[in-house]
Amino acid sequence: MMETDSLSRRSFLRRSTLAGAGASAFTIVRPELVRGAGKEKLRSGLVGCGGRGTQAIENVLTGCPNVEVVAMGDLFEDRLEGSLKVLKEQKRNAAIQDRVRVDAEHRFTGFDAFKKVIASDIDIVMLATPPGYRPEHFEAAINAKKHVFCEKPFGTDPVGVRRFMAAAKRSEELKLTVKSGAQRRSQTKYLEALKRVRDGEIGEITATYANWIGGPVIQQKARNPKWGDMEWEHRAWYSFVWICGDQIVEQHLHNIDVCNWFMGAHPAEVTASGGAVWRPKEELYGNIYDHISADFVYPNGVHMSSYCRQYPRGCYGDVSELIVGAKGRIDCHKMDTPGHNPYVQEHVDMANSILGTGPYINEAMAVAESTMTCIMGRESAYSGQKITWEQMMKSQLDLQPKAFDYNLKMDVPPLPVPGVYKFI
Amino acid sequence: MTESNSLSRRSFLKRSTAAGAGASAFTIIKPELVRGAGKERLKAGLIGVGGRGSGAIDNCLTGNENVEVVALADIFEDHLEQNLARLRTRKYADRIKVDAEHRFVGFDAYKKLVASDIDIVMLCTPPGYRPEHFEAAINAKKHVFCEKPIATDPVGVRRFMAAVKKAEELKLTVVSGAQRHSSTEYVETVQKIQGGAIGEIVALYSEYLSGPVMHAKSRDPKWGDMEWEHRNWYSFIWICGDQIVEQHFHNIDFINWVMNAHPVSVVASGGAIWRPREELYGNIYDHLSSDFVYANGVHLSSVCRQYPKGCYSRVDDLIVGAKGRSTGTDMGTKGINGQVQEHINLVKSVLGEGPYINHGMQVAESTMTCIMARESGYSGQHITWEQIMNSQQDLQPKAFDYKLEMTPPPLPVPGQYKFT
Repeated sequence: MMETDSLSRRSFLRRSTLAGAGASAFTIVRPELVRGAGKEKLRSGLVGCGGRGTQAIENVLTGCPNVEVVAMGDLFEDRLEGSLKVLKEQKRNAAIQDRVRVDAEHRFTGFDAFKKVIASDIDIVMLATPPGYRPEHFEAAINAKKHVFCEKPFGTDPVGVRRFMAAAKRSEELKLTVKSGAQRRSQTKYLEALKRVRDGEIGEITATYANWIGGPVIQQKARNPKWGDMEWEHRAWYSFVWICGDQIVEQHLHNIDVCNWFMGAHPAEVTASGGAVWRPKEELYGNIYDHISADFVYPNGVHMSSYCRQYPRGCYGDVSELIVGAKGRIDCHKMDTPGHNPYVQEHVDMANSILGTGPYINEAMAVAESTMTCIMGRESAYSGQKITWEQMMKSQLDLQPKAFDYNLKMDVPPLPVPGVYKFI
Repeated sequence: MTESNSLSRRSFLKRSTAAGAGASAFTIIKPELVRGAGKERLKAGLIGVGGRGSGAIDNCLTGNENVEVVALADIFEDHLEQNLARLRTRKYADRIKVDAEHRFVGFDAYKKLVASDIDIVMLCTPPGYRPEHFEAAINAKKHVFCEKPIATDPVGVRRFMAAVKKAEELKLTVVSGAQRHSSTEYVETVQKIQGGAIGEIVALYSEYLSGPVMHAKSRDPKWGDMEWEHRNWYSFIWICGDQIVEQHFHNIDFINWVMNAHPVSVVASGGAIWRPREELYGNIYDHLSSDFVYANGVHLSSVCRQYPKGCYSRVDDLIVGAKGRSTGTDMGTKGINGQVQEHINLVKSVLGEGPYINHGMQVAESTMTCIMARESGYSGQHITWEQIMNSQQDLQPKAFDYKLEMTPPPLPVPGQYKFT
């Protein structure tokens, strides 16, 4: 689009927004017509300007010369400014900074920042906040008919994931591109492993294994006395189940998603066990577990043995997936295939999908199912019950706060104890 | 043997013992000649007169007409007397012949029992003591019924293994309490699996999801530390081994049997998620999940837990092959209760009327497998078979004394707890 067109579109939007028209004032019926091949740039906006969000911008700008970033939103001004600082760092980002074009009017902060980013003149929304917010943000992006780069996981509770799934269906109908942050789906060695499996090299899959045996993610050293509960739980979000999901959802999704992807299915049931064996019962450590082992069973009886933990430095570590077949096995992460940087490739794939220069990609439902799989494992461990997919799809568990307010007092639910904690 | 023979043998033994001759005064080279077929009964003695011990007597006397019980040993007189009284109400009461001189109580009760005129020693104490008791029984050239697990630490397992080798040389019968080995459902299924019925084994699963084992409701203020840790032994690692060793042993031993091997390494995670940090609950975990790997790369995904009532529970195994799968019993026929059959098999082996049985090394390796996983969970480390076979960990108290003060080590925490 020419400069005058984009200017006039921007002012049109602003007037519409002020008039309360809400989301984007024109409907994208056939996105490929609005954006064709050629010199146009795709415009993206970022919601959630933390470490992952900042990197995602670096990744997309590195991989896609025709993408520029024009809007950013975060709960916290310091995070947004910090992100821009990194993006403008000469040494690190010389090659991409001319396409970081977020003017003062497009830096949004606060609880409704996401709405303003989505309402801006962008083609792509990049969602990189802590996962509790994902369903609400994704739903808004799809309603605004944006293409989405959507970090994983896709929610932290069953009500949220089903909300996401409803928007996922809509995104499919609208042929919007949805690329997830499950980057193994764009990683050469995983694509090759998948091909080998689908070609029958290892025979029928008989067992799968998923490991995230790693170290703790602790975002703060201590609580600043100036922070009310809500700010505290956002600054130290990893430690709180409503916004993080616990490790099995937040981090181990990567490995569980690979198994679901290779199996072409989600599990039907799970029995899991876990706890917090080293995390002190102190505020900083919140109410999440530090280890969960889950025995998932697929509808055809194949098991996924899932192990995730965040143990202190010096303990054993292993992040991997193993696919065992009747005739062989593939240790996915050990495959010796150099390839493109998957964190960049995923954006390249996304842009090609949007522009119609590559296959249409919509990972929304698949990774939503993986997210639900992880939550199912978590709830099984917390409650000490065997849990089925049907139960998850009916569960009314909704962990999200009912209001978003810095003055809100938030009581942290206690560490879940099997026999006491009830799965609902 | 006629009554006068046995009397003179007993007094001979007493004199030998008094003279410090130690173990049995005659060497059994061919056990079947000393006790043959016919009217004599085999004499059994039980060390550890608790629930399992009296159960073992019940199993043995139910399965065999030609065995009588002549000696009992326990640390606690009340356990011995209560269970003896119960046994005397049973249908085999006429074969409970434990006179006053053969009820041994105290820390050295086992030595006295092993030195008495018996053919078979039944070892049914809490597992911490097993290596010491087994070694003494073999040194006394007795046949052994040996409950599982066979130790609670690597040093103990290796001590047991050394005695097993001796038992093999002496052709002493050793039957373990791993009753699946004597259960036709399992035996026949394993034969079929090893014969290729489900193809090459590609994946293994075992779970022991059950409820807490608590032997005491509270601590009697009269009990010193040592008595407390014996009355409430499940809660203390040195004498119990934790659930994976004490209870989940059954599944892990079974899988090792199917694989005809022990794993080469393990990574395990666990903790105490509901057990309160109170004296009653000691220092054991309440859940442990272990990822074992065998030499051929096959994984065993094992989980054991003791969760509160109402939580999901199940005990089972799954063997997945290239061409099918098995639960471990689904290709076998139901026979006599394995816990009875094992005593029938034991007696046949002792008398030479059935194949010679020595489970010792197999159950020792299975016990070590369980300990390897426990130590991995406690320490947060990847542990190999070599490491556990070389470990110098010895949890047993250095002295046995009711006045001894014993401070239970804290609940193990990965990153702090060091595997030695």
